[in-house]
Amino acid sequence: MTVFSDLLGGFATVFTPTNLLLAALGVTLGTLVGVLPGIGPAVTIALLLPVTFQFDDPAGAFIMFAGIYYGAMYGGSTTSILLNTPGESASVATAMEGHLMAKAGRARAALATAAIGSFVAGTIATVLLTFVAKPIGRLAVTFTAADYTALMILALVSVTALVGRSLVRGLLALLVGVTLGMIGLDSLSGQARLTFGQPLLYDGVSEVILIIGLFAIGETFYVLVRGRTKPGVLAPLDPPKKGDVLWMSRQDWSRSWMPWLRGTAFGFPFGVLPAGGAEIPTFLSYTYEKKRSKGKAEFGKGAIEGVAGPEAANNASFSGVLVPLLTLGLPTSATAAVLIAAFQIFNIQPGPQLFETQSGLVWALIASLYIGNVMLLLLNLPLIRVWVMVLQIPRPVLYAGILMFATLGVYSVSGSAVDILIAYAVGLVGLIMRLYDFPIAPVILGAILGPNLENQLRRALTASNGDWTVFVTHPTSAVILVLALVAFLVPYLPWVIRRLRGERTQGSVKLAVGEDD
Amino acid sequence: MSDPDNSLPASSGAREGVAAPSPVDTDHGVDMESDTPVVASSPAAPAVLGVVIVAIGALLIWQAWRIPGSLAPQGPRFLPAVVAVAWTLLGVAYLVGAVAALAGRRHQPAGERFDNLLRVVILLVVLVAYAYAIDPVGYLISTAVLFGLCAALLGSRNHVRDAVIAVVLTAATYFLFSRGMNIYLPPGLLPL
Repeated sequence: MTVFSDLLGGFATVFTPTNLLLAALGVTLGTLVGVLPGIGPAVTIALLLPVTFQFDDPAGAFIMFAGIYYGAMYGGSTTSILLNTPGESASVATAMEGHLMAKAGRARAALATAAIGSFVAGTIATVLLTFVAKPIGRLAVTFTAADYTALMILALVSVTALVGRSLVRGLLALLVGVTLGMIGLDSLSGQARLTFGQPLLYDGVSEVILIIGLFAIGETFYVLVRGRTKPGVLAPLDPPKKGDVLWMSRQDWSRSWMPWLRGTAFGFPFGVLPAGGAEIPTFLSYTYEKKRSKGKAEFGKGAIEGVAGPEAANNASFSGVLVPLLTLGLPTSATAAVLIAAFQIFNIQPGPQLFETQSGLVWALIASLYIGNVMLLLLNLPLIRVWVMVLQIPRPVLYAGILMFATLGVYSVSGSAVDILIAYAVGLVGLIMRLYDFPIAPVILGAILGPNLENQLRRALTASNGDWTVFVTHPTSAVILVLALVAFLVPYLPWVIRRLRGERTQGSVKLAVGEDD
Repeated sequence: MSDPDNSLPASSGAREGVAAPSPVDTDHGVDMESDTPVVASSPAAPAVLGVVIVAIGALLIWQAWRIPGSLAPQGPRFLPAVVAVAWTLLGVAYLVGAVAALAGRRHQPAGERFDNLLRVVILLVVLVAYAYAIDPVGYLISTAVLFGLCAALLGSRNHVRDAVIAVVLTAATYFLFSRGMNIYLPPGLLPL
């Protein structure tokens, strides 16, 4: 079968009234939660996981997830533009110019360029995903355990090294995740590990609990500790102007379309590579658009290019992230890690076999990405007044509600009060990490990739009779490990270059790109 | 939308909703709410955290030691041992950095200013009590109480409004989840 007939089959699955309704519901719910200040896409999906528990048919659930995924991202950009509180680091670049635009009375143009840019980038990236996924999947079937081990090391190293300000804190965060992932019975030998003799811990700590605890509960504690319970200053929504098409003037359109395309070009490759998700491409796009404008555009005063580019990059990289996720089973961002958890609820293991065993489901998912993008465009701009109302919820009520729904999400996974206690304990860890500037994303990736890494490592070494050279003598794994080393060193390059030029260096040695998700 | 909320000791000037552009916000930094007067945490706090991290590292080494079997990389002890040792080494590195900063010899590692610590402790007590109450008392009653207490701890003063929201929201989610989606939530004391 060709890609087209596969995709058509996917659309045939999605185009039923029920599934279209699910897509619309997903986009609306995703945006509703994503709009909440301080709530990024990872938490949004984790909080909304229980909603899909009732589905017998995974296709319906994934169609809804695609909607939630895009809705959550777009909700985050609305909050960034109107309130200047990005829920995740990938929205930070959007917040910079977008909020300035909103304060200058151009909120509608900023929101529109973000929405349409997301749509354009999301659609292009989904087309690329459609054509790239199957070949990579075929390649992935040939990968050995040693190759997988190397790939996971690359994913872990790049996320840890590229995100956050300190390597020591990043690696510690990673080890927190790996340690949490090790709790429970060892999958190969059945040995209890790190359970402190508690049978309750034999099943380990579920990823959903970790994500909700670290992000939603941890964030609420942090808000309370820092006394950030006053509402932000919401930028006013300007009245629609005559002659604008979709809230943007002719000039806005002509200034936006190139940044959208360039942002997509930055975003998709970075999403496909295990390079820490959307932080780097959004900042690259922002910096590039700023450099390109050479002072012509009003960068620093609210330039539309500074919203269009990063938002497109953000959305494109999120679609790119699905390539390693679907074809290799490799999550490369916190949001992708939550999606893995969602797959596992339906006993589906993403990876090279997925396109063979669950072909219909995968193509339905890819088709629903197209639908989700269209829904996003259809729903978000008209519903802007609803999102503004959500932003006006008093903070104490808002965070009390987040705590309530976070607890409900945890409880509905297992129906166990012990899991609620574990989630609160994880939230406390999240609070301490936030207070002392530890990145959060490596914890989630460590917890999800750690056990996989261990399995593949043990399998590779068993196959080679304990010979460690298997990782360097096999060309694929050797190349991937070299890439991991490069990712490790890249953040120090600017410092090294400056030293080589004989310039004196000040401040941090390490280049810091954004925070965590 | 004027609001009697947001009366934490730390929060000044509650402005809500659509407001005029802030006059001080000239640079385009991202919301850090720097106008919130906060009490600086002890400069020794990162060092204390470092000690805790190293102590946890020792605990992990002990736990890895207790797993039976050989230390061969194919066995179940290998990764826990590697992680425990790496954790401890990184913890020592963090501790050294924090102590060096404390001694004033080096750049201070990032530590945040914070206050309202007492409220977090109270909130934690409330949350733990909730986890113990949810099964015997039931979802509806315990969650409504949790919501009201959380809102109050987070600085809300409009208790009547909070109580109404708590009851309505809890009841709506209970019936949506238990009746609409067949997810079990404990009825507890109420005859549901």
